[in-house]
Amino acid sequence: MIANLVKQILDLKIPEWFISLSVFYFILAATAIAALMVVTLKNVFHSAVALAVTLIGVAAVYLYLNSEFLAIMQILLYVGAILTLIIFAVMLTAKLSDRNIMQANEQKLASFLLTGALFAILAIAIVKMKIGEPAAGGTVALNELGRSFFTDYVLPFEFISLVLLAALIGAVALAFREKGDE
Amino acid sequence: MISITHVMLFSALIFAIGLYGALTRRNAIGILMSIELILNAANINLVAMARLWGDKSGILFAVFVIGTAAAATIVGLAILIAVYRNAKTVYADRINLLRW
Repeated sequence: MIANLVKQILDLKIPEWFISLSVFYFILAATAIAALMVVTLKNVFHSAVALAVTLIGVAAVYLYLNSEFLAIMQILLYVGAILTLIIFAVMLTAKLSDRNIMQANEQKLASFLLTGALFAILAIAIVKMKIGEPAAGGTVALNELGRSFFTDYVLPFEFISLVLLAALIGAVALAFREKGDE
Repeated sequence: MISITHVMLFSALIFAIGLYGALTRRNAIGILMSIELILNAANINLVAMARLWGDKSGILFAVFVIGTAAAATIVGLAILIAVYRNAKTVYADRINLLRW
């Protein structure tokens, strides 16, 4: 019965681009809904989980835009490292059992109107730009990216490593509890 | 072939959602998460432009943005933990020690 159904669906010969596009728009919608959940859910831990879904969805969009390297970086760095840090901070600070506490301040309506207007302006501008079809050509090769990092972009590359090191030391210095500092 | 216009509209939507969250959240960790959304929106735009023009600089800059976002989150969370230890709260409207 089910095998028959699957066979019938396979026999329909849905074109490949159609499947690809439907999956793409499904990912866009799911990511947008997850992003909305990040900013509206009452429980901060739940919104951290929704943030994980959003970041994975953004990684999928990177895959559709032919940059596999960035998709992998996104999952490794954001979902692997930053999100773990955020969940740690949530566990350390929030009283998760306390559901009655207000999570949004009294500026909800004003913020909604402001961001809605901003999005409308951006959307009109983007639609009026009439962006053409993307340039032909496949993915940017990974060795090409690596060579750029160590030739044309070596100064920002070294600089970002210095910034990360400084942030790391600063974080340890800030969060370190000195003796007798109760 | 996916449409770059739709990707840019999606990026604008994520940016608007992130801005809304940063403006309305009381929990400072929620504000940090909203800022992550905003940075991701910028990254989507960079990658979309890299795809549009077949240029790799957009991808390189997106990597730098990810690194900066990591540094910002690390320092932000460390400050939050330090504030929580002293003020016993993470709600941004309760932290008013420096308000005059």
